[in-house]
Amino acid sequence: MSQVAVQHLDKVYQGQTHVLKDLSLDVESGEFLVLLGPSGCGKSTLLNCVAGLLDIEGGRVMIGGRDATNKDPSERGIAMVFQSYALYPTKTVYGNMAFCLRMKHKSKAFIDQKVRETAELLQISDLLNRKPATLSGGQRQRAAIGRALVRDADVCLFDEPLSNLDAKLRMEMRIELKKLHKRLKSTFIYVTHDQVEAMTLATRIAVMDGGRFSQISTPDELYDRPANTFVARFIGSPAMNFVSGKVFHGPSIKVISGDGLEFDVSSYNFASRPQEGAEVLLGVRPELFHRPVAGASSYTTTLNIVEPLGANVLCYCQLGKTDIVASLNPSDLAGAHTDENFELAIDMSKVSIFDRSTSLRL
Amino acid sequence: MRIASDIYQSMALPNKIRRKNPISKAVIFVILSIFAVLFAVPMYVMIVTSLKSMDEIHMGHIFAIPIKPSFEAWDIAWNRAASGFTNTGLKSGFWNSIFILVPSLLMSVTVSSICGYALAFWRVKVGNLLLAALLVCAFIPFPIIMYPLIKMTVILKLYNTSFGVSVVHTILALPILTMIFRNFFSSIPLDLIKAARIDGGRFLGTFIHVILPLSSNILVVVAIMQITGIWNDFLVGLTFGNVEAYPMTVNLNNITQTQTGVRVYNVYMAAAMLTAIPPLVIYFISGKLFIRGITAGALKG
Repeated sequence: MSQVAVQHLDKVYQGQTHVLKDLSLDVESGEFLVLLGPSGCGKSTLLNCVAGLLDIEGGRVMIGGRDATNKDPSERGIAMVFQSYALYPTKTVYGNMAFCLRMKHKSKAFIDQKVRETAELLQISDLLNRKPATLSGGQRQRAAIGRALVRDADVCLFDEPLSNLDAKLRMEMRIELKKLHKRLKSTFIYVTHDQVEAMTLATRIAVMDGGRFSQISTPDELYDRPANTFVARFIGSPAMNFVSGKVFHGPSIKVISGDGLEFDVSSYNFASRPQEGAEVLLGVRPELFHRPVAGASSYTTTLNIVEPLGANVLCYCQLGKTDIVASLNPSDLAGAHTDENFELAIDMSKVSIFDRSTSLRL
Repeated sequence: MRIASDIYQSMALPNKIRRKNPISKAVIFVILSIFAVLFAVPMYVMIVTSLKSMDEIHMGHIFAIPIKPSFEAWDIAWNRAASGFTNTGLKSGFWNSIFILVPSLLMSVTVSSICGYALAFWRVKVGNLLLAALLVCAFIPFPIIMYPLIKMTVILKLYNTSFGVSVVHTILALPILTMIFRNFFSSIPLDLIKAARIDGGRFLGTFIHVILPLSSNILVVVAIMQITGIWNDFLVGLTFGNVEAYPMTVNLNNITQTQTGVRVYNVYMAAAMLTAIPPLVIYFISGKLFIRGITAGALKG
């Protein structure tokens, strides 16, 4: 049974800005679903609609199998962590965590036990008597998560919870969140614009663009088989390389680019075979490039800029008239010089091919 | 460490930066002194006059220090001065003022803070229209609406009662106070309200547990505004009040205006000082809080 189901949801701001357009989404119990998209795509709005903090103009929100569309946020069985933490500044960490239980008129002993258990879980027991202003960013984040977890909600909503932390802390908290999810087994819905967070945390990612879902699938699937050029461009850093060309049916299927380069795509698993001469975009991830073994076919590029990153090296090259980025092993660069010819081969079995007019995967 | 903290302080607080130019320093000092004296002189005259005997006052040296200072005039003003039909001095007016002040303070702060909270955070239908109406109302002079208000209080059987005076004070203060509260609450991050809603805080629960604890500064500012405003009011007390329950200001006016014969300036001055003392005390106690309140525009979460 799905834990959270969004059905044909529409959200219109002030009767004119249509921010969410007929969205449907099923989140299974125990899933870690990440809503990913550029700013302004409506991901936070969707989360607020699920939480009940925003009214919706059409469709339904089901939580735990029951229609929650008209329920108050506090009655939906959800917890939420905000980007700004939104800790009550005048209350201690203990007071912050106890607040929702106090509002439900639980007994003092129950509240105390619950708060201390949750604090133990998040390792903030020694912070319980401190005010938020005296805590560091990471500690505030933990307190905010503690406040969400203390009520044993079936669904936890996270609205960009890590984006106010510095890079190192963000990585630590990312791992902690993953551990927490593994341990609690509750349903997490998590909003972020950071694709690394999405890829590392999610069991499924819903990529959003302009108020619609572009693709909903597992991180691997998104990365290896993006459903359209938007997802292909958005996921992956450095971004996927695109070469435009036409399909040519010969002894083997080829894509021939405008500047005459031939790409043999007969190993590609077409969902539907394109017409002869169809305009397509060939998408190649930077790590699909490698140095050719002796005798194998390869492409001659001009090596422009080299960026050594330690574990790998980013090579900015010119392939025909297209600028591309290749991610290579440092050892592959032996004998290579910038502004000289540089041979590269492509692992054609893992490329993506998109229809140029519809942007959809073929 | 010492030096570092000193540098930090001088950087963080621009007013700690030393002005090196002695001339500009002197000019500022002189200007400030002139203003201080201008404000202090009338007060000084009132105090010394209230401590003098009538004979001494008739000598005409208003700036002179009293030869034989005595609090007799203060005693008369407080306990025995004739005002209207009674000879009970200012003390009855003092208590009347307290009985008017306390209910109107409580009512106006409670109602306006809740209205401001509703307008700031909750989707009130035609909320913007209400806000515009408040803005207009806040700038309508009292005498214009005085007659309709009298009619209304008569119908409500509140005319000629101290509680009626409190109600009128509350009504008159609502527009401006509601706007003050609404603007202050608007600076509170919306995420806090969202968090409280998810935590199960209803309209009033969120207000009491989350908003009010954050609002001490603005509450102090509003309380001071209201206390001084209501205490110093004359017109509302005179028109809506009961002869038996006139506030201190009306009382003071009666003492100084209704007498024929000798004008007892020392008693007048003492009475005026007595009437002015409560707001002064409030300012002295809460001056720091007041400044902090009016400068607390941004609220850190």
